[in-house]
Amino acid sequence: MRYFKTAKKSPKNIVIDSFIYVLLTVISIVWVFPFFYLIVTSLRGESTAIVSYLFPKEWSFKNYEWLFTDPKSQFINWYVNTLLIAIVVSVINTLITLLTAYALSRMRFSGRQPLMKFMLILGMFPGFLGMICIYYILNAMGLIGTNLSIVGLMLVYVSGSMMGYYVSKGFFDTISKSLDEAAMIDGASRSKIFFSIILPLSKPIIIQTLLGAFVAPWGDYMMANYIVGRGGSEFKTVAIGLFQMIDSDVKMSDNFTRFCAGGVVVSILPIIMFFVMQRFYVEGVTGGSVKG
Amino acid sequence: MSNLSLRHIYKVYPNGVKAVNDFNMEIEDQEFIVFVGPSGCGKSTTLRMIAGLEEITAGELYIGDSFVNRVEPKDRDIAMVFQNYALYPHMTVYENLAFGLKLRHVPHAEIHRRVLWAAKILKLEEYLERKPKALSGGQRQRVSLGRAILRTPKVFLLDEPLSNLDAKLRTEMRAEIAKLHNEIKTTFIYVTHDQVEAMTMGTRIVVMSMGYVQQIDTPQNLYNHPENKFVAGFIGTPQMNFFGATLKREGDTVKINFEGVDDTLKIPFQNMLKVRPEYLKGDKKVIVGLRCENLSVDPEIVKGSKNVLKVKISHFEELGNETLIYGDLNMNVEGLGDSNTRIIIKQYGGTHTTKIGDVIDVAFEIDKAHFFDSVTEKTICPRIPEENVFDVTVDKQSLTLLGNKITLPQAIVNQLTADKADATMIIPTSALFEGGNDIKAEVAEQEVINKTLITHLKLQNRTFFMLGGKEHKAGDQVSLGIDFKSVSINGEQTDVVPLPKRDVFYGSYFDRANAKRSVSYLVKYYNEQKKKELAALNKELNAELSQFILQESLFTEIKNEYAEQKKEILGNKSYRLGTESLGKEGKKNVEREAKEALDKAKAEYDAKVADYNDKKAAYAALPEGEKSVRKQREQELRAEYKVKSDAIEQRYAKIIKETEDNVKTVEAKLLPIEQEKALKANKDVADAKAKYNNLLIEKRREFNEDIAKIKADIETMTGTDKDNAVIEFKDARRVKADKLAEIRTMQNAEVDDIIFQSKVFVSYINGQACITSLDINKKIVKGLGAQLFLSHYRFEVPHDAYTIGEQGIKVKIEEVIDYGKDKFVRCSLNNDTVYVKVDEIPQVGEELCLTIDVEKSNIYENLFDIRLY
Repeated sequence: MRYFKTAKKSPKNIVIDSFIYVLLTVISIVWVFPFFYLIVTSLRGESTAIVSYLFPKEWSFKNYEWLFTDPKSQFINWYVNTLLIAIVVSVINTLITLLTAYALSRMRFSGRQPLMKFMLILGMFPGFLGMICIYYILNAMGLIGTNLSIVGLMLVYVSGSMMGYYVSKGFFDTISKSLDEAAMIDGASRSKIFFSIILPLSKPIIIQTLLGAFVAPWGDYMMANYIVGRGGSEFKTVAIGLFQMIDSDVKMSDNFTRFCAGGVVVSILPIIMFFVMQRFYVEGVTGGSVKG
Repeated sequence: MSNLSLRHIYKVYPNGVKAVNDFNMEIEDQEFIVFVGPSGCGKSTTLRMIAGLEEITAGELYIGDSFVNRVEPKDRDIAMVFQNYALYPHMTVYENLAFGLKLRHVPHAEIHRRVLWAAKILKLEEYLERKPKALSGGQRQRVSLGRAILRTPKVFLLDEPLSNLDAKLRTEMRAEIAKLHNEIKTTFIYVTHDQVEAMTMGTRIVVMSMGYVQQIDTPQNLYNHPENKFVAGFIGTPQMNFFGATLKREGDTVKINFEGVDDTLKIPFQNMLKVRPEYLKGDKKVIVGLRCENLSVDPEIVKGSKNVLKVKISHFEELGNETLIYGDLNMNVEGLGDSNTRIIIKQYGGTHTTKIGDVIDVAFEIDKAHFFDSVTEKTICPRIPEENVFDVTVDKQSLTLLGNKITLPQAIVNQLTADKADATMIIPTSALFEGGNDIKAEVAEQEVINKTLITHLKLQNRTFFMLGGKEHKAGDQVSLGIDFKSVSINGEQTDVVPLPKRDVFYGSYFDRANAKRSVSYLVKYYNEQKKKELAALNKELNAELSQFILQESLFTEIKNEYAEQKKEILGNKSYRLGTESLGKEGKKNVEREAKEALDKAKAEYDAKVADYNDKKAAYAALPEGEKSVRKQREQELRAEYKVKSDAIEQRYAKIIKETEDNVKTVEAKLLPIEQEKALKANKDVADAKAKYNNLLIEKRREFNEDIAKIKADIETMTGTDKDNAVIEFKDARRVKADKLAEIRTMQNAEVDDIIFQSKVFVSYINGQACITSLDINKKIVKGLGAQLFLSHYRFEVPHDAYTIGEQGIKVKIEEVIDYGKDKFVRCSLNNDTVYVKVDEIPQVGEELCLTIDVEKSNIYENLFDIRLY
């Protein structure tokens, strides 16, 4: 039985709707196909080179096996490096971003507005404009192409983090100021208010900042390449390592399916993280605190 | 003790908006004070300043006996309830309640006990484990109240706590808060915009509007004796009826003549004793206010009443048990809009037989009426009258007042020009005192209002008033003296003005390090003054010139004026279109009004131009001889004014030069004093530090011993005893940390105090710098902070605050003013006048050197007019 009567569709509507669906299908195919190709290729057993057909003749996991067990493969090293960088960067980054956002949202000091605008405009310039400058600074510190390059990379990722204050400031602005004031009268210091009142209410924005800050170094190629690209092969990140597996024709034919397998492994962790953390994106975290 | 004292509190926002103006109030322990007013009146700002959430721009706030302007909210010992509850959403009710206590390191057992106590009082026991999300609005507000009462604060602040609740719940919570006040017995300050809440809950109510306190009084007095039209209209629903009217005294009655109404009402003169006679002459417009409950359409009452007027009914509002009848006294008005004759009548009982458009008789309970000035909107019938006005006959040396002949002091005699004349004499009620021998009168009655004793006096059928005095029985004869300093006498040919209460000086206030910076602001002020004076002079010259000569500049002036007018009209139009919600019709109206205004301005401009052209033609038609004569005169006049403007320029140049020179001398003079004080302060600081360090060591040892003992005990215990002892151990450690931190804070406070006391500040007035007392320094520094060097100051000096000596401000004696007992001299100082109280009369023309006793003066910040001392 139909509870809701939908309006009878006119022929014109039908044409428009079909067009929309066709378009959506095409877009989704374009979107999904690369990933599909990656997975399928990574499972190919018969040849490691690029081939002219899509589905493998022999399905096998040996590419994955090679990545994790072959003595020539540094994949586990790279993976650990990248994980380390991403975790450290995401934690520090989130903390700095949130502290900046909180300060800009709650405190009134002279030069606050200009500072905010300045940071916003500065954030619009692509980070790689400072590449040469960063290179020389890190080189002087002995952090380019050495065993400590990973630390240099972390520094680069972390240093601009307060630029991303904008979204979190917008979120903090929505938390009623009277909560801060009530806590202040209750005897809490600013840091106490931030850590025990504001942070517990800010799960969505923490997760968002954390994920953003995690994924950026995880997949970054450009910065990573010139900072850690020339160092010892065990000190690279996955993006650099994987690319260097196929950076010549010979290597390409040796390693292409392994490269694809590496790509699949790399993308698994962020996918899991998104799925796990998604449930924290619930609305109404501040429900009941203030009337509204 | 939890009394509060707010002294000259101001709030000025960085954009220059003055949110709170000169708020003065003493709040007694256990009072329930309500701040009430329309939104934007500054009531919440005041509350937030008390809470410490908003900085106080100037003024002093005391909670108990301690000065708390710069104290953090958490250390003020206050609790606050917010309009939107401000509960911590991620904590349960129990945690919400305990949060503040936990932060103050109260022992666990104590927290638990107190949370349960508060929960019991507020009936929250069942909900302790719930989160705020799962509570209703009323419950949430109760949690918020609970959080506040838990800490047993000195002052309890409530910021519109009920405005988010529905009407029924609001009534319940109102009763609950009143009950709470009875139970916990602390001072409550409650902010609301709802006058019903204010009237039902407050022991005293502060009515505010536009940042100013309108009246502070008990609910009953606010209702019965509103001090101005705002308070009268704000208190009571529906609003009080206001009528435009004039009053005329006819013997024992005063006739009230309403605008647009032919009939008059009569009120006994006895009710209007405190009204100044000028209002009773029938020509000054006043506003009569009468509440709708003091009007009646009941035929019985109308029959028995002498004060009946006809009202044309426009519409009704049925409220069930009562009906509001809307109408108008003026038969020609439809009565729907606001007018000077619009009337609302409350009829009890509900049923009525009248129809819209009927004309009915309404009885006025006229002795309940309030009267306000139509311009100032202040009551003209104040409870504490300020002035007595008499008709007098002035003779050369004396005057006759109600049949008494009073000899005038020389100072008044000097101001009289006519030989014999009738005049009005205004004697402030505070200028009459007992014990003189100017008039004899009979005491009619004495009453005490707000701790002020008011004596009603009677003489020749005329009642007048005196403030203060001794207690008397009715019928006692008293002889009175008049303080002629504050008396004014006005007649056709007489004009005696009272002696100004204070002389005004402008100056700076600074310490040595900031002398130059501070004085540059004073110089800036002088330059502005100079520009103003020159502009005034120029205007005068132009006015004189335009009488006989045609000035080209006149045309440009007319043109500029027109352009200015046009700009203003258009600006005003676009502002109104942009900000008001007008609707299509309204927008058309605004457009039309703007067009009319523009047309009017254009017409005026054309007329002026025509006038100018006429003048030009007339001037051109003059014979050459006449023209040259006039030109000659113009040149003479210009030369004359040039001399005057040069004098002004020179005077200011001299003042500025002197000021700048003086600063150097002041700096040099202050240096040794400062150094000496700094040396002493260094020693004192070292002493204080040593004292507190010893105290710290001692206390630390004591606490360590205690803690060690508890720790030793723990070893021997088992089971729950041990758990409890562990908690006790932790608490003891926290107490130790708190106490030690407290001692350190005390040490810092004392050191700061010593250092502040060693600072030397001066007030710089007319070239004289005098070192100010600690009291003044504290008030100004506390009031303005570092802003104090960027301001200039107004010093209002009473006449007895001068010391005549060898050095100081040089003034020239112009005139001796002799009030008999008190003698003054009028002196000139540059362009200003200074009155100095003297013991012996010096020679006119002599020069005096004055030093000012700043402690007796009032000090104002001049830009925002903030009273500091």
